[in-house]
Amino acid sequence: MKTKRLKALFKKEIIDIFRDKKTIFMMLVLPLLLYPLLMIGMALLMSAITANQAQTVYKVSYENLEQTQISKIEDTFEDDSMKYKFKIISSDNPQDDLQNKKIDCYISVNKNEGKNVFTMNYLSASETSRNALGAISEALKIYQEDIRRQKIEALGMDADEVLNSIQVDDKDYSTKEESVGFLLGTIIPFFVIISILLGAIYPAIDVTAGERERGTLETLLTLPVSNFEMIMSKFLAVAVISCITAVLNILSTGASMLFMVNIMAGSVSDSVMKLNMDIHTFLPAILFLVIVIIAFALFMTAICMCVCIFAKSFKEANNYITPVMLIVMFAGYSTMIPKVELTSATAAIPVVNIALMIESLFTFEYNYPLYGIVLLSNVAYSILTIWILGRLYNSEQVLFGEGLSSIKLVAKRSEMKERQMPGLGDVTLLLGVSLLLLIYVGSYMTVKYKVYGILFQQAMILTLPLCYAYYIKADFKKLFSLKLPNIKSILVSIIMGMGGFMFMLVAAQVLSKLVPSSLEQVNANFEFMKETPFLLLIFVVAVFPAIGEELLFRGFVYQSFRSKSKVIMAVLASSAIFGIYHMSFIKFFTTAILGIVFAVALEYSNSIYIGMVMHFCNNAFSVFAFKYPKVVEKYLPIFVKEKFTVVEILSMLAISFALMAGAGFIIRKELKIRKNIS
Amino acid sequence: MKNGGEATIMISALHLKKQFVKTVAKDKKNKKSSKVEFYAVNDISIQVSKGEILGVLGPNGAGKTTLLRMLATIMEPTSGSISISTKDNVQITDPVKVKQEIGYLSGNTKLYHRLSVREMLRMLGEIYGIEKSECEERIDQISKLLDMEDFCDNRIERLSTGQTQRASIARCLIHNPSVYIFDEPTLGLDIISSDAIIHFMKKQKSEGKTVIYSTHYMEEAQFLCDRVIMIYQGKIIASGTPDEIMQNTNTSNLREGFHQTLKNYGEGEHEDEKIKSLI
Repeated sequence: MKTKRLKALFKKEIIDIFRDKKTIFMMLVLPLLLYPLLMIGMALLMSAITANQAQTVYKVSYENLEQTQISKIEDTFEDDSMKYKFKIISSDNPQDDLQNKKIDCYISVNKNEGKNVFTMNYLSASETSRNALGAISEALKIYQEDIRRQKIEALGMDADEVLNSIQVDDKDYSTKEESVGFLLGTIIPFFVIISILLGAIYPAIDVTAGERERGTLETLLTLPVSNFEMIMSKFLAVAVISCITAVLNILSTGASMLFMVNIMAGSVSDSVMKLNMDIHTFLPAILFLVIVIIAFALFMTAICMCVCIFAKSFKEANNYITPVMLIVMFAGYSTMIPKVELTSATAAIPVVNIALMIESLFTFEYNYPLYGIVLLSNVAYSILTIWILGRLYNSEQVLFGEGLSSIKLVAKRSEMKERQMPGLGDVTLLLGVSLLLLIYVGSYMTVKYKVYGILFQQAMILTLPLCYAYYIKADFKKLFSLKLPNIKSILVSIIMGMGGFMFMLVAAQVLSKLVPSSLEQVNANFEFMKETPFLLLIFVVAVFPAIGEELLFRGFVYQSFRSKSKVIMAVLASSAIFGIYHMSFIKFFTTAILGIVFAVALEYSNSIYIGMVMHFCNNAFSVFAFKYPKVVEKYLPIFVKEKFTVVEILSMLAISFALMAGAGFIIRKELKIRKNIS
Repeated sequence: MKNGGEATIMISALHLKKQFVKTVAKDKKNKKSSKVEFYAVNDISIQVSKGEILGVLGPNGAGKTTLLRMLATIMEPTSGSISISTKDNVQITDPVKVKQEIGYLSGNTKLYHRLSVREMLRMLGEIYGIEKSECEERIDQISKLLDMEDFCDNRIERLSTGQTQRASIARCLIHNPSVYIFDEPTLGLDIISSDAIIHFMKKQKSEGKTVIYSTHYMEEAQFLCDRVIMIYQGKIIASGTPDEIMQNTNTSNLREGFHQTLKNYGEGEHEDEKIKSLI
């Protein structure tokens, strides 16, 4: 029923937006007609201007020149390499004639210490005169070269050898795709960002300030829909339209740019301009671009709506949105600033990260860990802005326009109702906030304070869910499953854990073969750990995460999913989030596998402690293997082996499946019995 | 009470309060202003029965609209509660469910100008969760009932004031609610249109629907309402049938009764001066 209502509302918003002529104009006419027309028009105009320039006859005059000089310069005008046409006009007072625009430029000569100084007299305010200056200076260069040749030959030397004693040449080893990509990478980010923003602004105003201005907001409030459904339908409608507009913009500009390049290539015979490159090279970049566009469109939509929500009319909303537009445009320019590149620091700055990521996509420097951070940070920003949006739209002060002073973004704890489980909204907010803190504060602390930074980061992960649970008055015992397990569940979990651990080793091995670079990157970041004392490392890497991450993922996240959906969904979803949180391609799969094991153990034993202990063992083993590789190599060689043979992989898989199947059988039986009882 | 105690209570509100913040000029010299909290609705309790028309009377700014908004659950009361009984006699308080049972109309509930009347009704039907075929049937019924067949497929922006108001009423009807809450439904309409609306309310009453409506037209209220409440400064200062109000104030019509009630409340002299200054 709820999704049906949301769908109906969404349909309403889309119809309402599309019925507006202004929207159709902004969405369809502008990108599909105006931009191409403008670009093609500009291309035609430019080629017309160049053609015109070639045909212009410059009117030239002389002052104080000897007849031999004049005839020699005039010879150069006739030279084959000369692209310009000149007309010589004799003048008694060239300066006056120049100022009266009777001539475009004149050459005067005076002697300075026995040297002939040729002065080209022109008017910088006149375009023809400026062009004439360029044309004449080319002619004078030819004249000068002629004189040089004559003088050298007079000395009995080979002029060519003296003048061109070395030859300078260059050769570009970039593929055509790379150089085109570099060009596109500088221009496209700004363009993509602006078209998404423009696509979002108009409908965002229409569904917020527009709805209020037209007086239908109160009508909407009389309908049996929750505020959340109302805002989500509006948000989704605007986001969809923003995405469509952005894609249309990109397609139409891309097509007209291709067309333009072809026109240019037709007029200029230079083969460099011709586009005979392999379009397939750009496919991964384009695919990734689509995902980024969607994530970014969600974020921009939420921002635009947050701003427009305060406005009572279209006009007011336009005023409010202008500063946002300027800031986003400025951030979009970042690709045009040299030396600004996608790094782990810039990957978390909103808007800038998208621009830099698109740039790096087109230069084929696929850096997936950084892209992961860009995507995740955009998801986190979107969550936060959508949450703020929901809060704003909830408050009557905004809905009925009765002043903004008393808007409460955060409810007081005393106003909270006591409840057992956090809702999905709480989970997304907590995850968004902790993700942002992790990206910003956490990574900064790790870089700056090394091992103590990680300690701080882990302490943050530990305190956040506890504080949030306290704030919403959740039932701690139930939410975090604070119960001691019985012996049987411990034993079964150990069997399952061992199977899962072996499976994870195999998976890591296979994945690192598929994507070899990513493992090195992971290890490079933790070089400093070699100097850290073993016990401290155990504490930071094993004890803290075992407690904190279990509380967050198996406590807060898993249990609130569990109260809303089936066991299997809760296990998979919480494990996937657990994997994503480790922000690395390989780690995603390995941690997700462990996440599944821990979650199943929790579901079976009703105790978080089993997961914590298993989590501790896993991390502690990694620390031990890292610190004392030789000991591990001697006693447990299978766990630190660089490369497995196929037989080893298969036998490990068989053992792990046997262990997991055995444990899984017992757990399934037990869960079924429990289900029947309840 | 005309209907006595036997009738089932459709909607009941207990101790409703709504606090707003208003800006008051404090010091004219420094142009400083201060924010003062006040109650637009201050402890109002009402119960309205099935098949009853309740008139809400009161001067501008008395708190009528705020009260009606709270009853329609589009505004959350600062304190107090509202419950409505469904067709199966279950008390509900969840705003989303309450709204399913209420048709609310006010000067601020404009229609979607870019749609035709039929399109809008269809869209609303979908949101109310009405089956498609059932919805089409209801739209035909309603357009016959309100005499809208001529303009049902026109875009709402092209309709006249009276037509728009009828379309607005159609909007409140689509989900067949059991309670109508109308905030000044006849304001600014010609005699024909306002009579049509009054006729509509009478008809709904005869079908056992509950109507709560506010108005400034005393003659209309005297003619239409089973019971009226008079609100002043967020409080009920008088309630009863129009006849009872006239008896209590020794007046011959509701308009005089209204003035007399205000006078009795202690603001009377002030009110007289206001009227004189207006003349």
